[in-house]
This record gives sequence, C-alpha cells and structure tokens, in this order.
Amino acid sequence: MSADHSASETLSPHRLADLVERVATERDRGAFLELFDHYAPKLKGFYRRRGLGEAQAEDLVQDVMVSLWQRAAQYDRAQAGVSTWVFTIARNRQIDILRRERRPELDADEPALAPSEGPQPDSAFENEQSAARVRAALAELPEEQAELIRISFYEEASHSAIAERMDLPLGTVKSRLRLALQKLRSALHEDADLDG
Amino acid sequence: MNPVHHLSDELLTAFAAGLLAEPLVLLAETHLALCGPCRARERDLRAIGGAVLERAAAESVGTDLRGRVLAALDAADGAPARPCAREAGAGGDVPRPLARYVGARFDQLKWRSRGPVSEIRLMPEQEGWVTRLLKIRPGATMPDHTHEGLEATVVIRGAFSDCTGRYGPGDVALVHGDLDHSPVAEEDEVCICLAVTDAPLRLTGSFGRFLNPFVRL
Repeated sequence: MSADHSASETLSPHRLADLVERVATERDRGAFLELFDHYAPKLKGFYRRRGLGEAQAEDLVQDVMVSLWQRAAQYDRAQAGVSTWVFTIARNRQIDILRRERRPELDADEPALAPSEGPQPDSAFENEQSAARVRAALAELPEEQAELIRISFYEEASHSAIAERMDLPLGTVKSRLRLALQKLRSALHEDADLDG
Repeated sequence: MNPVHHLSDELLTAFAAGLLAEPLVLLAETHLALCGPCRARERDLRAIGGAVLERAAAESVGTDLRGRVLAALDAADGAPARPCAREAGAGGDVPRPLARYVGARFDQLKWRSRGPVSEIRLMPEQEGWVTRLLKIRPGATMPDHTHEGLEATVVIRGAFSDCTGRYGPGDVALVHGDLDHSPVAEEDEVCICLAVTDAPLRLTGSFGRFLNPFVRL
C-alpha cells in the first residue's frame, strides 16, 4: 500500500475558492480548466484507490467535474472549503449511483452546507486557513496514523477488519485513529477546545 | 433537545466517506437530521476527506477526458439540472432522509400490524439486510430477540428503554452479537424507530456488503 503523494503543483484553498467563484459568476472556462487540471488526476486516483477500473473512474471524474460546473453558484466559500465541497460531490456521486433510478438525487450540498451547530468557521478567510491547516496536519501525521486515515476514507472496512488485516490489536487501531482524528480536528478548529 | 446516544466515530467516518451500505446510510442520515452536533462532526470529517482528496496519489487522465468534459459542459448548460431531493419529503413530519423512502407524513404510512408492533419494510432489495420502520405501542415490549450481527436503531418519535439505557428521539442504539435485549416503549407515547439488522448474512468484522456499487455497473 503506497503512501499518497502530495501533488507537485498545489493550489491554495484561497485560489481554489477564487476559481470556483469565477466559474459561478463568469462561466469562466479558463478557471474551470484550472480546476480540472487540479482535481481530475486526484479524483481519478481517489476512485482508483476505491477499487474502480480506469474507465469507470474517468466516467465518475467527468460526472464530478460537470457537477462542479453546474453547481458552482451554490458554492459558498464562507461555509466550506472547495476541497470539502468537491469531496462531498465525489462521495455523493457514489451514493447516487447506488440509488439511481430509485431515489431522487442527493443534493451536492446536503447535508454539506446545511446549518450545523458547534464550532464552525464564520468567514471565507477562516475557512481557507482551516483547510490549509488540515492539509498540513494530514501531511504531518506519523505514517502509522496516516495509513489508518487513508484506509478509513478509501476502504469498506470496520475497525476490527482493519485490525485483523494489519495484525494489530483492535485497541491499537482504535487509539491510533482516535489520536489522528483528534489532531486533524484540532487543526480544523485551531482555537476551539475540542478535547474530551 | 439533542440526542444523547450518537453515532460512533467509526460509523460516522464511514458515512462521511460514503462507505456505508444503504440501510446504514439511511440510519446515519436520520440521526444527523435530528442531531446538530453530529452534523458539525460530520462536516469536520468531510473537511478531512477533502484533505485526503487533496493528497490523493494523482493518476493521469486520458488525453481525451478534457475534451469530453468540455463537450459535456455544453450539454449541461442546455439541459435543466437534474431534480434534487431538496423538495422531496418537505412539508411533513417524517425526517427528510426517511421521507425519500416512505413519504412525508406519518399519518399516511401503511403499517403492517404485528400485535403491539407494526412495521414497514424498507429496501427489500438489499440482500443480507433487514431494514424496518417500527411502531411500538405505548408500554409494549418488543419480543426478546438476539441476532448474530449488528442491530442499529435510531428513534424518531417517543422513546424506549432496554438493559443498555433509555433512547429518545435521535438516539442511536447499537447492539452487537448475541445480546439478549427486550426494548420497552415508554408508557405515554407511541415509539417509532428505524431498525437495521445485518444478520444472519453478516460478514465477520465488516460493515457488511458495502457497496461497492461499481461492481454492479
């Protein structure tokens, strides 16, 4: 299982939000293509790691990018970072496919942008800072924790299945993940007290 | 009042990642509809998912994908957006995620009565899962039952108690393995809950047959 690479060219959360805004307000295809070049290879890697074949992965990448174009006006940079938004669209596309022809499509922003309680950023600036911090925090996790986070987001495996496969005690898997999530959440809410 | 019994990090993370089977997706969505603090937790997990996506090992896409996507934008601009779930299930008393399956109003549901407990079976096509909306008469006891796998219940209205505690609106009860329990509805109100079991076909140590939906494409 290989570690993920950080992309060689990385756009800042602020730049990403600017691009989505230009897509929304100006239907700017240049901005869209910049987003495409940033996200398409990552999304493809993401879906491939979830076990999809080449063609299926690319079909989904296309779906997600077209959704991004269509829904750009719904994106609110004061509510969520672009990464969160795109991740949510990518996730919901999987769920939609499962429910296809049986259920109405999930909103890309539901419950993503539904009002929620608890500590939350109240400005685009804070959101972008928060997105940058969580990216950095993920990069800094010890490999044993980072690997468990990746498995949690890519694979259909309960903690006990992970423990069995990695030949670790269940308690170790749980405590490593708890520690990792704690660090990532503290990075999201730098000033909020999330202990306990 | 917020629920007391929440989704575990394990289940909520799998939900946020889109890695749960559909019956558990519905259970999680129903809890989230009734629990503000968990909506905030779930949002944090998606922000973490966003960071995981940003760090995903990039794979180069085919040279024609750009062109295909640009062509699809033209088609998308000419077509109305697909209908969304936003309106579905609005205007009733059934929590919206559940309303997508059974309609928006509790008084229009078609219950199948089984003594003190009535039920509506959902997602019968989901092999290996039993997903039911249950209505328990005030003060009634669910028959003793044990199960080999996981039983996850979220209360929508009213409350019940069993040997593990009291569960009111939004509360999630998770029962693993062969715990013998008999939930009792409270005296003053009908209890409605969504119950998901994955026995007897449950695979050990897994969330069940998640869904790799793509396998079926």
